Amino acid sequence: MIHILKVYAKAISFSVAQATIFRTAFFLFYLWLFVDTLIKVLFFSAIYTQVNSIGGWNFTDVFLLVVVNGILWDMVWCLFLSGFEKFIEDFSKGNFDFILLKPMNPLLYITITGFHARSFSGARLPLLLYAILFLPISWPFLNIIAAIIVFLAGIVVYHALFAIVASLAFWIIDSEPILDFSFSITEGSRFPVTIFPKALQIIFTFIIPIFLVANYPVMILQQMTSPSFALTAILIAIGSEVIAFLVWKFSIKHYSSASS
Amino acid sequence: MNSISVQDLTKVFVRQKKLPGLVNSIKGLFYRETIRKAAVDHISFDIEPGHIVGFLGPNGAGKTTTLKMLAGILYPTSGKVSILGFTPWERKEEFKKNIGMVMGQKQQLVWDLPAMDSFELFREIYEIPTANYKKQLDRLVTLLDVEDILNIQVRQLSLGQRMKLEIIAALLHRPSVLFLDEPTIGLDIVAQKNIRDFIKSYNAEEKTTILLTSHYMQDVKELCERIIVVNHGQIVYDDKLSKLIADHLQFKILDIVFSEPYKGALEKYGQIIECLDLSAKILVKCDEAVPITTRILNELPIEDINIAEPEAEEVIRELFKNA
Amino acid sequence: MKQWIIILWAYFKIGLAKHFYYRGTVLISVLSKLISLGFLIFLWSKIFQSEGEVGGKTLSQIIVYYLFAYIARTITSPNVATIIGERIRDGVLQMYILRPGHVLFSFFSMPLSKRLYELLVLLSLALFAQILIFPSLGLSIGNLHYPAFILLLILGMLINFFAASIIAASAFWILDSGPILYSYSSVTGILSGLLVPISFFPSWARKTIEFLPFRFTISDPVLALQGEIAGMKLLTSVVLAIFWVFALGMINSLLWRKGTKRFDAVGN
Repeated sequence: MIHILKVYAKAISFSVAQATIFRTAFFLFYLWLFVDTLIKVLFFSAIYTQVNSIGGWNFTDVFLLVVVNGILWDMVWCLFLSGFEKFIEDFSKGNFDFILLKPMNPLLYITITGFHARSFSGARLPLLLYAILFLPISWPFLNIIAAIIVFLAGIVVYHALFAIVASLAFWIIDSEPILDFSFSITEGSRFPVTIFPKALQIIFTFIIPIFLVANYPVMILQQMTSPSFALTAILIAIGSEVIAFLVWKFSIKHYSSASS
Repeated sequence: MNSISVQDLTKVFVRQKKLPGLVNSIKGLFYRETIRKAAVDHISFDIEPGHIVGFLGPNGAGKTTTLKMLAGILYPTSGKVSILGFTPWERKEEFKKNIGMVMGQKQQLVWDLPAMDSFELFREIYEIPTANYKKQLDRLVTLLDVEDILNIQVRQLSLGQRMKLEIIAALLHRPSVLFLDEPTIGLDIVAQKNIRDFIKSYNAEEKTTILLTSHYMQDVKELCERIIVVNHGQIVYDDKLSKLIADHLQFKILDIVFSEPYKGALEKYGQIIECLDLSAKILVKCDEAVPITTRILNELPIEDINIAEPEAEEVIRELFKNA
Repeated sequence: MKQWIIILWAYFKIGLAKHFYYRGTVLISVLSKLISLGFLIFLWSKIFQSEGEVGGKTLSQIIVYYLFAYIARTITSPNVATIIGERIRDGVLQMYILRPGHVLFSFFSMPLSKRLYELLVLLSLALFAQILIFPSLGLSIGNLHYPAFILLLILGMLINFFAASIIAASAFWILDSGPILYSYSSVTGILSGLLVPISFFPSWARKTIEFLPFRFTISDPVLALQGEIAGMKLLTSVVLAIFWVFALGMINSLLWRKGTKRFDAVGN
């Protein structure tokens, strides 16, 4: 365990060193992400200029949704998504074999070495601060804890989801379009969960749990749902990771039996 | 005890035939003909510790497939392999920490970082004690003369430089067995020689068992006492290279240059290796070399004729033809 | 001029062949759009559960707007940004520089056949939807103003191409701009009227957005198609669009000249 953490620490330190080399780039990046969040808030404000509520969510609710989603995606890109992207690219060049030679579980290896510090710029945090200071908000302490737990569980779930999508590389020659396609499904999490019919809500919460990470934390904070959901979230997170590891084990077996 | 022991190793690939055209595409939805091809066909060999063995063969002969099975990357269809007492495809951590692999034209070093950073990462992954790591790194860097490129982004280096660094990456953890899959492919002559010299000295010092595949005879001639030649997945020769050449020393090659374009049949003189308008190469038995040469001088318009020893390349090419 | 047409036609033919064999890519692209459309339809259906009219439109009118908007998006899509960015990053750009004709022209011509292909699929689906599923949508095909639509679409395509190319050129300076390129699509989507009609925005935002070039990639063409921009307004629109094409084209040229000098085609 300590060994794995040591490797992780090393990977992180390199990534951070790389990120700080280009300062203008870093600044531009930060600026872009900031603007990106503002424009997404603008999208909702356009709707709220015309109506007062979307499925029971008011403007403060969706503002928080946009910001939390932004933080989520920054963390997802930083923690593993860049790694999965690189894996798909490397795989098509035949470089995956080197990963199999390493004395470490391949999925773990790809996740750890996929840390990409530059993706996390914290550009959304000022907007979170703005929300806390200027929007009508009152969050009970228990809800804050529960929301953070659900958010972290959501990140684990996204890791599992993208790991499963990435594993398609073992089966299909050109799996990059499928990765792009999975992005369009996760776009659904940008909207308040209540706009979807009950059936889809259940699917997107328990089977392809994309709502876990942004919708539910906001709902818990804004007291639209109970903090006890955090326990369910943890179970979903553990379940999805187990499935992801099993899928990888199975896919690698297939790769080792068939590859030429 | 042998470092590497291979028994009856076989790998059969199953492929599906895909025919072009719309009608066949629709047919293909329901039924596709499967082709079974044995890339590796019941091969067996043993390698003692500290030896360098060359694996030769034309493209598609099964060299890389064999190497991948020995490294544990591919599962065999049948057969047994024991490397340092381990079965490779069980992928035990102890096994992985004791083997290293270099694949020509493929790389594991991180593109955007200096090689040094990748080395540091591998140090952690292989759990190499710091003192050992420093000692090994210094020694490899000196032997390969790469001191000044360690801290440059890998993407800015030439192929030759990158391959040297790839070799270091594969040896940082002092593996007992090293697999080299076409390590010199695509390199210029100087770079090839550098790498060959390194492999020779490293093996002499460390007694690492090395299995090397290559297209280049020069690699094999300089490094390998023993060669295993494969073709169509089967071993056609497994013995000393010197013996192979000696065995074929019962043959000589006649290098003929014609004084005018000659298009007549040459088969009556010997086995034709090469035949062009103004030159030809013929394989003849040693004791017949002189009489046949005399006949040719008398019967054909000859500018020049030379009696030569067969090159290792030609000997092996013959092996492929006969197998 | 003739050379450009030859190059364009060559890429077009190859694109058609490629996309016939890799039907999956087009399918996935169309599916992605349908999913995004689906999300928007859910959104507005929910809103209309408690409202009769929003921003002066009924639910059907909004859905029709989105249908046209997504069709326009198929033609004017800025997806070249990710492709160009990747080519700069992996050094393959050098191969395109070697080809006859300006390097960017290759990137412009390559996706054309895919877009046409996608357009055909979408149009068939739209027709299918109109006839079988939503006959009440009121898509009266006869009342649409096609020439204005097509003209503005072509201008919009050029605008988006140059803008995307400008963003992609950031890769000459920032080595991995991946996240920027990915979110570029959704940001321009909002600013072009794809996700919500520009008339819905609060007035301060609306004025700013109308000042930007993105409206010509979706909003103006769709409004022209529906006849809501006509006569003098249409003329103004076209003139402004042409202005943006030239302005962005020049900025793009400048950036690329500087960028390609900086670009060290990486030894592979």
